[in-house]
Amino acid sequence: MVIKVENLVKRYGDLIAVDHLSLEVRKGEIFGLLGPNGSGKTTLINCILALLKYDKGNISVFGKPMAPDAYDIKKDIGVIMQNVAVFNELTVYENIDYFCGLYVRDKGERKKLVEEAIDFVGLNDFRSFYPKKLSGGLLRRLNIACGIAHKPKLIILDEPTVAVDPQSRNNILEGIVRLNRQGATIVYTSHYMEEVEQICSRIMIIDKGRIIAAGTKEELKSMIKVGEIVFVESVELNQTLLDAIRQLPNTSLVDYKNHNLTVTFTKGRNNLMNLIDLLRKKNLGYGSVYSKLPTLNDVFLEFTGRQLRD
Amino acid sequence: MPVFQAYKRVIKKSIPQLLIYIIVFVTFAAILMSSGAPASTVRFDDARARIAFMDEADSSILTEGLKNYLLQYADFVDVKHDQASLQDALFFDEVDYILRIPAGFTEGFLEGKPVGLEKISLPNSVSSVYLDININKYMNMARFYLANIPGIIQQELVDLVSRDLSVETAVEVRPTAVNADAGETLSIFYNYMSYVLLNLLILGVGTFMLVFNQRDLRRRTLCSPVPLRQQNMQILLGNLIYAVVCWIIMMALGFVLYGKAMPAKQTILVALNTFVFTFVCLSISFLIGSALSSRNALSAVTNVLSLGMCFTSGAFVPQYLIGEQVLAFARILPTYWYVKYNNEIINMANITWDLLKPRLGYLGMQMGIAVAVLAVALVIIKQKRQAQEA
Amino acid sequence: MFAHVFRYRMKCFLGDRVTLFWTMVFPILLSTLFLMAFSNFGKATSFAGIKVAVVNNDAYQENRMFQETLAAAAEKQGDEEPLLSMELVSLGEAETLLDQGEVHGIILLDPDIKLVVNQSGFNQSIIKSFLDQYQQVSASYTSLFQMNPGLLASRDTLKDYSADYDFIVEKNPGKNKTDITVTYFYALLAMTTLYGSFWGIRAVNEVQADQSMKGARINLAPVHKMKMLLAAILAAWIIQFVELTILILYMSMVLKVSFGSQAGCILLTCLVGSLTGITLGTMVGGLIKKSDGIKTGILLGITMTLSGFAGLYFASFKYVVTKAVPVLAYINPANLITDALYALYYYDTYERFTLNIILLLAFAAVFCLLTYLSVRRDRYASIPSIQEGD
Repeated sequence: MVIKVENLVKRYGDLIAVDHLSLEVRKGEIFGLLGPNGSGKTTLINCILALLKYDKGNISVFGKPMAPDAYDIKKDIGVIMQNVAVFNELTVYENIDYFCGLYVRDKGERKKLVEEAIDFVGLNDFRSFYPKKLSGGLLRRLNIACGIAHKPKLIILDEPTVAVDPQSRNNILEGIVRLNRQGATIVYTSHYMEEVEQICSRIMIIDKGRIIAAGTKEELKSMIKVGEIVFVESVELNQTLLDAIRQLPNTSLVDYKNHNLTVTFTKGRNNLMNLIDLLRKKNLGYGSVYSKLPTLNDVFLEFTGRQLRD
Repeated sequence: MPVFQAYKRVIKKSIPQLLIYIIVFVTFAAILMSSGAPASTVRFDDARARIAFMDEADSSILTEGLKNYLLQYADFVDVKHDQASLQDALFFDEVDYILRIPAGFTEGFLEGKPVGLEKISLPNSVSSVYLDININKYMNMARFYLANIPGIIQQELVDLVSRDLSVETAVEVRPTAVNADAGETLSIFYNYMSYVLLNLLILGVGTFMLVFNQRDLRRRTLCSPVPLRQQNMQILLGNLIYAVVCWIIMMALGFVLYGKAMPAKQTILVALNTFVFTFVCLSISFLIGSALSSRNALSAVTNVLSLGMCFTSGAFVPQYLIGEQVLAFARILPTYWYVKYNNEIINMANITWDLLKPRLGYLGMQMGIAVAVLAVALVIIKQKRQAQEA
Repeated sequence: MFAHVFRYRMKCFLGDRVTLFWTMVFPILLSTLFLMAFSNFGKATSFAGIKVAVVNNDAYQENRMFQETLAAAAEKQGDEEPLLSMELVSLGEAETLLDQGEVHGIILLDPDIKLVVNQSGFNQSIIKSFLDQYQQVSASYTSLFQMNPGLLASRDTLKDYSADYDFIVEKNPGKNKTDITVTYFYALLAMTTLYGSFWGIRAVNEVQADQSMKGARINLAPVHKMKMLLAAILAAWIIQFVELTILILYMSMVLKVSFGSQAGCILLTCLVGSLTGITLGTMVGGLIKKSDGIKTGILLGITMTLSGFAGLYFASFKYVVTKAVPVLAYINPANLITDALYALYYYDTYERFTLNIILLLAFAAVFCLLTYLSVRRDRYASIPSIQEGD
């Protein structure tokens, strides 16, 4: 077990930020922590890292209790914070070297590690740039390089892709997967469900400091009723036809607006086929048809009644 | 008037910072007022130096006589007689003059030996010349009687000298409009005001220009349906109103604190000067606001410029303390003309048109500088715009 | 590890142009302004002859004796300035000269000697003392002849009254020139020393997880926080010390401000002072959990107040405070620095200097302790999301 949190409680005055929360992160996995802004993700992370005081609970990392002076634990952790934390007076190379130097004493080894980190985030062309000259995406990459240069065994990323362009975002996500393949255990927090879905092997959804659900994404999706959602564009329907569609098996919700049809099915076989058969039988013309499997947003929506995004 | 509204909000946010300058200024003015009690103008008083009087011979009739005589010209300051205390008192201007009467002075004097009194003072200062004259006068007169009246005893000697020295010249004091002490206080107050005005305007106007000139914000405003001319008019209006408000605050302060001390004619003329100077500040602020692009740079430039102009022009220390070369340089600064005008107008006995005419030229100098600065600002704005469009 | 952190802290601080500006460039500029402002100080306070207008009327033309006395007073004696510089004019012209401030007073024989002035002051009083003397001497002769009418007949037995015998022997007050203006430069140096606290704030902010994201990151590294802070303080100390040395070199070499001759002791003052300044910053940075702007504002307030009490705005204020409330002088680090430099400049002994240095060290120790106590806490109650950068 890389991280073990038992019954953690953290209050800010009257507000409970983390409410009797327990979790385990296993070696070698990419653990996704998903929740809307203000759900307590960062507070949880900061407690795990022994930055924050907490009211109750136990936290151990690598099997040992975590503490501010647990330097033997800290040396194997790499953290990428939500906000960029680099020195404006130091170049890309120097920033990475500085933070790496806090973990690795040997100069030769450090040089190698810094080079690898620069390579890893693709900042080779920018090594002597000062942070002010970097675009937002590049700055995030630098931020990541500073956190991972010392080859930590546990990497915690707290929303590393906020306000990052798609190209840099992909670069970052691919990087995380690569780090994981190289043997690092990853904890990844985000409020972007697509990201979590894309890379995480196990996911925990939290809201208001409490666990909503946890498991692999398949497990999570199987917990909810929605099976798939089918969209049919540019189709002419009348009330009778809509009623007929509502009669199809597993149909839970039918929505018809501006000649576009959306049908939500609960889990079951041949849902799409049934719908198309019906349309064909009635000899109706229609535009494109596509179906979408439920996303974590749907999971969140079903558990909390709210959209995941703000 | 959306731009004007934005202007008001930016200024509102800067109020705490701006207030610091005003509060410091008011405190300063209050201290200034309490320290300078106005002296009467119709009577002539002998100037009084501050003296530390040390009689090592433990007083004789002669030295006591000298001491009593000096009471007319000096205040006796009690300073501890150790070396360090005396040194400190002189260095920090608590006393002007330390007079030491060495042991055996009276005996030596009466025997006609060449004896001396030791003094420590700022070399060749006016106050030391003053006391030198009067001490020598006393001793020389005593010497005169001693030499010409054989066998005269000390008490007789002192009586004769005191009697002669009580002869005084008649002095007529011509009244001035503002008495000199009050005049100095008023000059200090209004001259220091130039520093406050500079800071208030550069910070206020500069901050707004900085915010407003941010590239994207500027572009967004340019894209809005408010015509450019109208935008500029609104900025101008904001600037003018802000400047006038600052001026009114300053004038109100002056009126509350010194309204009584200054005759109406002078008040109006000084207010006019301050008004002109406010607009010089406005054009300087406009230039700075257009040329700079960061708050750090703004606060650095504000400080350096305001302190620099005020120090070299005599807004903090009187112009007569400043060297000729520095003052020659300062002529290109508006503060120089502002201060010069204040000093001369406030201390002028009767203001006549002939006396006033050359001083109006000082206002002209300020306006000329304001126009020149404004022209530079406009060139910079134009260049910046071209650079952005390119 | 320490060397690694130290090296990079050094690099970061040296790249911090804003703090470098305030801790070095700004004091250099300000000291230059001080020099300019006081460039005429010596001349302005020293005696430069008094300007009088003498009314050329019949009474004056008839009084030969008075003419001769005036001429003697207006004559240059050796290398000293003559007492008076006079203009012989009509009454109307004299009045105009007085109105315009061209002369200090008018001497009018009406037919008795009369002095016309428009204010009281040293210069006017010197004219009066001079005129008094003329009449007092006449009185002395008269009274002597009354007492001993025989003397009048036999002029040769009359011991002459020589008014110019100088009884006064000038002594040097201190080791160096009594020049209050050096206090301004010393106080400026003290201010700069305390500006070192800006480095202190930065040093603390960057190891505190609740003050900066960098602090959070550093708290996660397997390095003791205090070790990091010490490295930062050491780097800041060296930089601040070098800055002060440059400032002192600039003041003494370029501006020709006199310091005592003991270079070692002066550098020691800078070294100890900068430690006190930096730890003042780390203490404030540690104790106050507010934004960077607020901390800087608080420190600026503290620094400028302390420097003011040490004589930055008004040199004598330092003396007044020391005399009135000695404790206030001893608990003010800025005053300790000013006073240490003053003691080196003006005193022959070292007790006062040593006392100042010991007190400065004591302050540094207290500041260090409070810094330690406030930074030591290992877990934070809350970590606000901090957006870095400007």
